[in-house]
Amino acid sequence: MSIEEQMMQAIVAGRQDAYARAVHQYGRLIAAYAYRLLGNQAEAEDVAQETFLKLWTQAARWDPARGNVSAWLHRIAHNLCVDNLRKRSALAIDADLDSVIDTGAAAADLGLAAQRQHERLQQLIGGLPERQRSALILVHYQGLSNQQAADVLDVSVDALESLLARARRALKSQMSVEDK
Amino acid sequence: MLSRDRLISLIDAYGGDLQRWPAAERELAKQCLDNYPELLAELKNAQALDSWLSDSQTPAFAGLEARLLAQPLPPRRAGILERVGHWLMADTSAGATQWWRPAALACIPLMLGLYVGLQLNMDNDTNTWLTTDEELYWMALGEIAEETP
Repeated sequence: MSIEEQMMQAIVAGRQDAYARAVHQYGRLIAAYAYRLLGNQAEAEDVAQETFLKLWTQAARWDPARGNVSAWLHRIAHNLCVDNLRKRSALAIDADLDSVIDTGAAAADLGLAAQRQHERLQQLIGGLPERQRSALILVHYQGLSNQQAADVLDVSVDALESLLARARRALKSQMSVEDK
Repeated sequence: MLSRDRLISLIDAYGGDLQRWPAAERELAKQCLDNYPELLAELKNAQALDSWLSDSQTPAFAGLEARLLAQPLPPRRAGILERVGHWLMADTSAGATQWWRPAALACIPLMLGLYVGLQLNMDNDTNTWLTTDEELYWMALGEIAEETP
C-alpha cells in the first residue's frame, strides 16, 4: 500500500494527524488553484477550507485507481470554484472581472512594473472562458499530467488538448497585441 | 514515430517546456523534433509564452494552514458495513479478538436455513398429505381413484 493510501485510510479511520498531513501537503496548492481560477484570495481560502472539509467527510470515496489524492482534491476544488463562478454569474458581476480579481495580495512584494505585468496577466487569464482557464491552470501552474487534468475537467485528453491550445492561442494573440 | 502534425499539436497544447508534455510521448517527441528543424521556432515562441505565464504569482496564503487545521471537523460517521465490520472484529481490552462474534454471525444463515426447512416440512405435512379419514372421504366422492396395481 502506498503512503498516500495509508494517509487516506487513516483519515477514513478519523485520525486527525493524517488530516493535518494532507493539509500540510496540499493546502497551499489547492488554494493557489482556486485563486488562479477565481482571482480572489478570500474566496480561494474559502474554497480550500471547504475542499478539506470534504476530504475529511468523504475520504472513503477516494479511489486510487482513478487518480492520486492531488488530482482528487483538485477535482473537488474545481467543482466548488465552478459553483462560485455560477453564483457570481447569477449576480451578474462576472462580466466585470476587474471588480473581482484581487491581485493586491500576490503583487504586494513585486516592483511597480512587475506588479502591472502581474495584474495584466491575471486579467487576461481571468478573461479566458472557464474551461480553457481551468485547463491552462491545471497543466501549466498546478503541474497535473494531461490525464489527471482531463479527469478533473471530466473530458477526454483530446478535448483537454483542444482547450489548452485555444487558451494559449488567445493569450498569445493578446501578448502580441501588447508587444506592438 | 510522431508525425509533424502531432508535434505541432503538442506544442500548441502544452507549450515549449517538454516536462509538461505527456510522459508517454516526451522521449519520442524529443527525438522527432530533430527531424523538423522548422518546428524549433514554434517551440521558442511557445517558450516565450510559458515564460510570460510564469510571471503570474499567487499569494503566500499565510495563516491558511492554521485556518484549515482549526476548522471544526464533524465526527466521522462510519457506514453500516464499516460499523458491522468493527463490531465483528472488535478487540477486547485484553487485546484478544472476540471470535464468538463472527461465529455467531456465521450461525445466522444456518439457523435461518433450518427454520425455513422445518417450515416447508410442516407445510408438506399439513397441506399435501391427507389423513386416512380425508382419503376415504375423497375416495367416496370419486375424486381420488384407487390405485390399481
